[in-house]
Amino acid sequence: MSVKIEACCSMHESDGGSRALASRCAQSCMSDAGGEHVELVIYAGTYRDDNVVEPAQAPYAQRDLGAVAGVSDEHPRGAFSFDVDNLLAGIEIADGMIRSNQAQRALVVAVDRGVGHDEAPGAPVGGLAGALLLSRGDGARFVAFHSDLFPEHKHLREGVLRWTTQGGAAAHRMQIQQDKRYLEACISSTRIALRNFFGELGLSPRQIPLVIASQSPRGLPGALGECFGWSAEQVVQVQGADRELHTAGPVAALDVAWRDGRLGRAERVLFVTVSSGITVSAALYEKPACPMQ
Amino acid sequence: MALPLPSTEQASHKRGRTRFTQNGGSNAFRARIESVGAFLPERRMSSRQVVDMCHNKPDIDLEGVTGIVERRYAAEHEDSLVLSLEAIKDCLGHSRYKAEELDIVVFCGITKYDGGIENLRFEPPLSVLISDRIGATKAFSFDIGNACAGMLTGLHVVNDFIRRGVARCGLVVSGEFISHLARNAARRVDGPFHLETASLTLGDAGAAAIVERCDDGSGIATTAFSTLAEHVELCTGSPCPDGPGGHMHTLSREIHQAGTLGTPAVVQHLLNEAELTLDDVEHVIMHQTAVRAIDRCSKVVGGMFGSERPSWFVNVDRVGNTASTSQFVALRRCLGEGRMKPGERVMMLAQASGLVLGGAVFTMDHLGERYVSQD
Repeated sequence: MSVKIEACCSMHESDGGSRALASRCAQSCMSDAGGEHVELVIYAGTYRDDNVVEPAQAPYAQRDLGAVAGVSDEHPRGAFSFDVDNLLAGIEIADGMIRSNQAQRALVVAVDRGVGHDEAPGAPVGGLAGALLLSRGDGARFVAFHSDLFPEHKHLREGVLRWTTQGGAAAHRMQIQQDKRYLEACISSTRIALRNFFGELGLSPRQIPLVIASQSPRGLPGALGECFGWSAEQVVQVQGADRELHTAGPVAALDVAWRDGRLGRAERVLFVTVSSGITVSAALYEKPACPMQ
Repeated sequence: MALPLPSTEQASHKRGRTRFTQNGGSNAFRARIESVGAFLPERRMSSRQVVDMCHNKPDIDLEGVTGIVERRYAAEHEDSLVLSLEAIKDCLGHSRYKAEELDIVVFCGITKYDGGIENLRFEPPLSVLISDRIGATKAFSFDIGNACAGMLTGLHVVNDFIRRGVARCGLVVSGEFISHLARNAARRVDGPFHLETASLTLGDAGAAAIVERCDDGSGIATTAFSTLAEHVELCTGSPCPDGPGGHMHTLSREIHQAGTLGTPAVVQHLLNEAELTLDDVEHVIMHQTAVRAIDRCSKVVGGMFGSERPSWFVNVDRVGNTASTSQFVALRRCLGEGRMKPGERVMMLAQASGLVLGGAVFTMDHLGERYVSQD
C-alpha cells in the first residue's frame, strides 16, 4: 500500500488574509481532485491573520470545504484538523495516518500571510498558499522521510511578536530578523542533512532527477543545485515572487513542476525544506517504475 | 560540479533520523505512556482574588459557578518555554529514557512565550528550542497546534508513529503561560456573560509525557478525533490589542453545549475501537474547564451508556483551566496520589476550540507505582 500525491495547487495573492487564502487554495485543490471526502486537514504555516493562536487555523479551512470535510451518513466522523509548523512534518503525519487507516485522504494546506505584516521589518513574508492532497493508492509513494536539527543556528532567523513602544504608541509588532549568514547556514546544514539522507537511502545526488525545495531564503534552490551538481532544470524555482515564499514555497514549486511536465517525467523526486532553527527536512518520492535499490 | 564539503562538515554529523515508510506496517506495534511530568508555578490565586482584580467590580460568583477554588500564576521568569522545560524535568525524572534517546519531540502548546510576556515566538518553533535545551538534537522535532486539544493531538500523532514501527519513543510537551489573559480580561469584564469572563478561569502549567513502544499488550488501545468545524468561532485567542499578553473571547454557554452534545459519539467511537464498554473504564479525565461542566458531561455520557462506573476526575478546582496541559496535569496528579492501579482503563477526552472532540483510551500498567514510590 502506498500514499500518493493526488493533487496539488498553489495561489500567490496580495489580497485577503491567510485564512481566506488557505480556504480558496484548499477548495481549488479538492475541486481539481474531483471533490471526494477528505478525513484529515493539516495546516502548515507560521504567520497568520491577527496572529491568532487559538483555535488552530486548519478548522477554518475544514469548515470552508463544506461537505467534502464534513459529517454525513457516509462519513459520520467527518474530518479531523490541526496545525503543524513544518510542511514536510505535516506531509509525513498525513502519509502515516493514511497508512494506518485513520484516513483515506488527507489535505495539507501551507500558508503564510499576515494581515498587517506588510510593515514587518526584516524578512517580510509574502502571501502564498499551497495545498497538497494525499490519498491511498498503489504505485507512486513516499519512500522515506528525514530530519536534521542544527540548533547552533537558532538565532540566525527569528520571528517574534513583541509588545513595544514606538513613537509613543505601544502595540504588538512582528519582528522578523534574518541574519546575513542565514543563507550560508541553510546551505551548509542542508548539505549535511542530505548527505546523511542519501547515505541511508543508498543513493547519490545524480540519481535524483527532480528536486522540490524551499524557496526561501532567497538563493537557496540555486545554491543547492550548485552544491549537489543539479541543473536549473532539476531544482524547481518559483519565479516572480517579490517577497520571501515561506512555508508554501515547496508546494508552489511542485505545482510549477506538475504544470510544466517535469513531475510527470521524473521517476524520483526529492523534497527538501529548510526552516528556522535550523531544521532540514527531506523526503523521497518514487514512482513504481523506479524502486529504490 | 558539486562543491566538496569543508573539513568542518566532514567531521561526523550523524544527528538526524531517516524514517522509512515501508517499515511502517499498519498497527504493527502498540504504544504506552511511559512517564508523565507536570509543573505548577508556586503562586496561588483564588477565584475571589481574580474577581477582585476586575476594574468594573462585576457581580460574579466565580468559584460558585465554576467550582474553581484556586489556580496557579507564573512567576516573572516563568513562561511557556520555562513551564515546558520544568515539566520535562519531572517527566524525565520518572523515566528510563535520557533526552538524547528520544525519536520525536512535539511541542503542543497554544502559547509560545519565550522571554516573558512581551515576546510571543513564531520562529524558530518551540520544539526546536526545547530539543536543543534538553539535548534531544537527534529527535524529529515539530510543533502541533490544536487549541486545548494540543497535547492529546500530539499523543495521537506520536502513537501513530510508534504503532507503525517508525519510531520507538517520543515526547509530547506543552507549557501554557495564560494567566495574563485573566489580567487583560480584568480591565473589561463587567459581568458573568462578558466574552472574556472565561479567561478568569485560566491557570498556568506545564505538562509532558513520554510515549514508547510496548510489547506486552498493555498501553494505548486507541486514539481518535473529530473536528466539528462549524463551531470554529466559539472561542478565539490572540494578542491583546491594548496590552502585552493575550486575550480570549469565548461563547461559553455555546461551546460547552456543543462539546457536551458531541462527546457521547466520541466516547462511543473510542469504546468501539478499543472493543470495550463504558463499564470497562475506571477513570475518565476530560478537559478541565469547570467542575459543573465535568459533572454535566459525566451525567450525559453515563445516562446514554447506562453506566456510572467510571470516575470522572476533577482537578480544575485546584489549578483552573490549564488549556492543552489540563488532562496531563490531572493524570500526573492521579499518578502521584496512587489513584490508578495496574490493569485499570483510563479514557482521556478533549473538548477544545475548533471544535475538537476526541481522546485516548489506555490501560494503566505499573507506571503509577513508580510515581507513588518516588514522590
